[in-house]
Amino acid sequence: MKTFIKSSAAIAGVNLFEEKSHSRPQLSEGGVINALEPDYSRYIQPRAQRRMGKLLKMSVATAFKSLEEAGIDIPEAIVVGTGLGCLNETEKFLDEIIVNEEGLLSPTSFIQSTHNTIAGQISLLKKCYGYNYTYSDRDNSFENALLDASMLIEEGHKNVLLGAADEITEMALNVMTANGCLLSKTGDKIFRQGEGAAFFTLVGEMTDVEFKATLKCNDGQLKESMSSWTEDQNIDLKNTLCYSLNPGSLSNIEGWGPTVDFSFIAGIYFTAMAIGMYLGHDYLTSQKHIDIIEEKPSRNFKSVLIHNGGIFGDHSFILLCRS
Amino acid sequence: MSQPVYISGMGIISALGDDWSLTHQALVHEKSGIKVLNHLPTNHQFLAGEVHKSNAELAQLCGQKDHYSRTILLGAVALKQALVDAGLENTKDVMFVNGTTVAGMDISETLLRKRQDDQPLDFSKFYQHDCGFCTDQLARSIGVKRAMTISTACSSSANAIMTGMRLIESKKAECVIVGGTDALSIFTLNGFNALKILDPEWCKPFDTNRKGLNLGEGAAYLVLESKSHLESRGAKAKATVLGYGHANDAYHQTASSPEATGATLAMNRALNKAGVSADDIDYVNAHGTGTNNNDSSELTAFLNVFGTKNKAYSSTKAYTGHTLGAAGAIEAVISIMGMINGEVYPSLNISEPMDERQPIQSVTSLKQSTIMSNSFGFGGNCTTLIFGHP
Repeated sequence: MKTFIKSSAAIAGVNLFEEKSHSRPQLSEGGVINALEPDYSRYIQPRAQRRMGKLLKMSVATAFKSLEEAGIDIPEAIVVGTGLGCLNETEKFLDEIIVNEEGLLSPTSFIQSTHNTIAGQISLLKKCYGYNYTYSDRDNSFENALLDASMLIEEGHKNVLLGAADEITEMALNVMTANGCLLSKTGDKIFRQGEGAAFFTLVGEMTDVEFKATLKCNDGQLKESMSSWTEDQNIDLKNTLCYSLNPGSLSNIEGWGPTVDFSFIAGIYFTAMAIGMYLGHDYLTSQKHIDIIEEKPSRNFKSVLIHNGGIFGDHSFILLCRS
Repeated sequence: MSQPVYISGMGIISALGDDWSLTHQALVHEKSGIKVLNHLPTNHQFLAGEVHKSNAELAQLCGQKDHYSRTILLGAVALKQALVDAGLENTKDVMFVNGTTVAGMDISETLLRKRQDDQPLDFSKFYQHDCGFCTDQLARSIGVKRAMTISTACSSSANAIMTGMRLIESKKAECVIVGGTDALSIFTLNGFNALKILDPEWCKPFDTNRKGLNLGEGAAYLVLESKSHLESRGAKAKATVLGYGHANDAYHQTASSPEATGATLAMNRALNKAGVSADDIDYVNAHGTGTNNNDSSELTAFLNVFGTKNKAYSSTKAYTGHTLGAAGAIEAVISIMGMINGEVYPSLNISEPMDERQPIQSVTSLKQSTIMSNSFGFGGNCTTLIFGHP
C-alpha cells in the first residue's frame, strides 16, 4: 500500500500560511528566525486562542488548514512529532515551582506541558476518537511520526493527519548554543535557530505526490547507504531535486543533483524537516519553486529529496515523488 | 484477528524492588512500596512509590555513569534484565521503542534551582532534558541503532508495546524491545499537586472514599519477537501479546469522560484485534489511579464492555504508585507475572468498595489464559493491551 500526500500547511519564519509572494524572514535579536504568526481567527476561535500558547496555535492552525484543503473534517488518525514539546509551558511551570518554593501553583502550564498536548488538543477540537500518537526523538521526531503514519496507511487507514511542531525559547537557544549544535562541523557556518509547524494529510488513494521512503545513516556510511538506497528506490540522483538544511554536508557525494538550502525559511530546529517536506510537496504539486529561493534550478524534477545532515547528528532523508 | 507476537524476556524496577523476584515477593505478601519520599529533594511530604535506591546505587546496578538522569538509570536497570531474561545477545537488527514523559527533568530541575542561589546557569548541562536523549542513551547502552520515543503521557509505555507489535506485524522488525521509564520529579509532583489529585494518605483505587493518586517511579521492558525470530535463535516465549486497542477520549485535556468513550473504544478495539470475546478475558489490570474521575469512568467502561457480569479485576497502583509513562509496561509485566503464576495481585487499601462489582482485594489463585491491561493518559489517550500464554 502506497502513501500519498493530499494536502499540507506550514507556519515558518517565511509566511507560508497566508501569502503567495514571500519575503525573507527578519532575524530577531540573537540571530533567531521566529515563526511569523498568521491571523489564526479563520481556524481558532478567539477564546480558544487565549488559552493556547504559540506552539499549540501554530499546530492547530496548520492541522486544520491541511484538513480543510484535503476536504476532510475528522481524520482517522493523528500522529505528531515534536523534539522538545511545549517548551514555553514547561519552562513557565518550572519557574513557578522554584519561585514559589513548591507553594500553591496554578495547574494550567502543567496541563499544557505534556508532549501530547498538541495531538490531544487537535483530537479534542475535532472530536476525533481515532489513533493519537506523539513521537519525541530529537531531530528524528518527525521522521518517526512519518514512519508510523505510513504504517497506518498500510494497515488500511484511509487518511492520517501527520504533523510536527517545535518552538524556540531563550533557554533553548542558550542550551543549543552551549552544546555547539548551531555551528557547522568545520565552524564556517552558523545555523540560525528557528521554529515552526507543518501538517500534512496523508491518504491511501492516489494524489499528485507520493511519499516513498526515509533513510537515516551516519556520516561514515553516507556514500554506501545512499548508493544502495537510490538503487532500491529506483531514483537517479542527478535528476532529483534536493532541499537541504545543510548542503555543505553532502559535498562528498558524486553525481548529486541541484541542491537548495532551505534553512532560511524556518531556521534550524529538531523538526525542521517537516518544513522541507512542505516545500517538497509544494514543488511537486505546482512544479514551481517558491519565489524567495534565489538560485532556482531551471529543469523540472519528478522527485525531491529532503535532507538534514550533520547538524544534530546523523543524516536523514525523506523521498517524495510525483505520482 | 492477528498472529500473536511473542514475549521472550522482561525486566522491571519499581518501588517493589529492582528485579522480577523481589517484585513478586512484594506482590504476594501484599507489601506496598509506597512510603514517605526519601530521595526526591522536595519540600512536600507526600507518599510515593519511590525506588529505594540512590542514583549512585542504580548506576552501579546497570553499569552506567551516575551523572545520567534517574530516568535513564532506572531504564538501564530494567533494560539489562530484559535482555538477560530473553537471552538476547545480538541486538544488531533489533529496534527499541521507549515510552517516557519526564526524561531528564530531574537534571533540569537541579540545574535551575542553582540559579535561585544566584549561581550562573551552565547551559551546556541541559542536554539531557529531552525524551530523545533518554532513549538514545538507553539504546546505546544495549547497542541498538533504531529507536523511537513515544510520549503520550501516562499511556506512553503501553503505546510502546503496541507499536512494537505493529512493527513486527508489518515486518519492519523481527525483534523489538519495548517499554518505558519515568523517574519521580519535582515537576510532576507539583503538577499533580496543583491539579489536587494527590491523595495525602495511601491511595485506594476503587474505594468509595478514594481521594487521589500516589505518584511512583520505575521502568519495565519486554522483548517482543516474531515466531520465526524466536525459533531461529532457539529461545522460548514466556507470554504473547494478542492484541491492542487505542482511542482518544476527545473529552478533556486531563479528565476522562463520564461515558468512558475512549476507554470503551480502546477495550473493544483490543478484543477485536486479538480475536477474543469479552467473556474470554480472565483478568483485567485496571488503570485504576485512585482519582475520583478515573475510577468511576473506568468502571463505566467495564460496564460497557463486560456488562453486569463480575469480572476479576484490580489496580496494582496502590503497590507501585502511578509511574506515569512507565505504568503501562510495569503493569503489563505485573499482569503477565500473575498470569504465569496463576495469581491475581489485589487492589490494596479498600475499606468500602465503590461498586457491587468489586475488585480483587487479596492475593487470589486464578488460572488465567487471556488477560487485559488498561492505560489512560492526559490528552485523552486510551490504550488497552491483551496478553496470553505462548
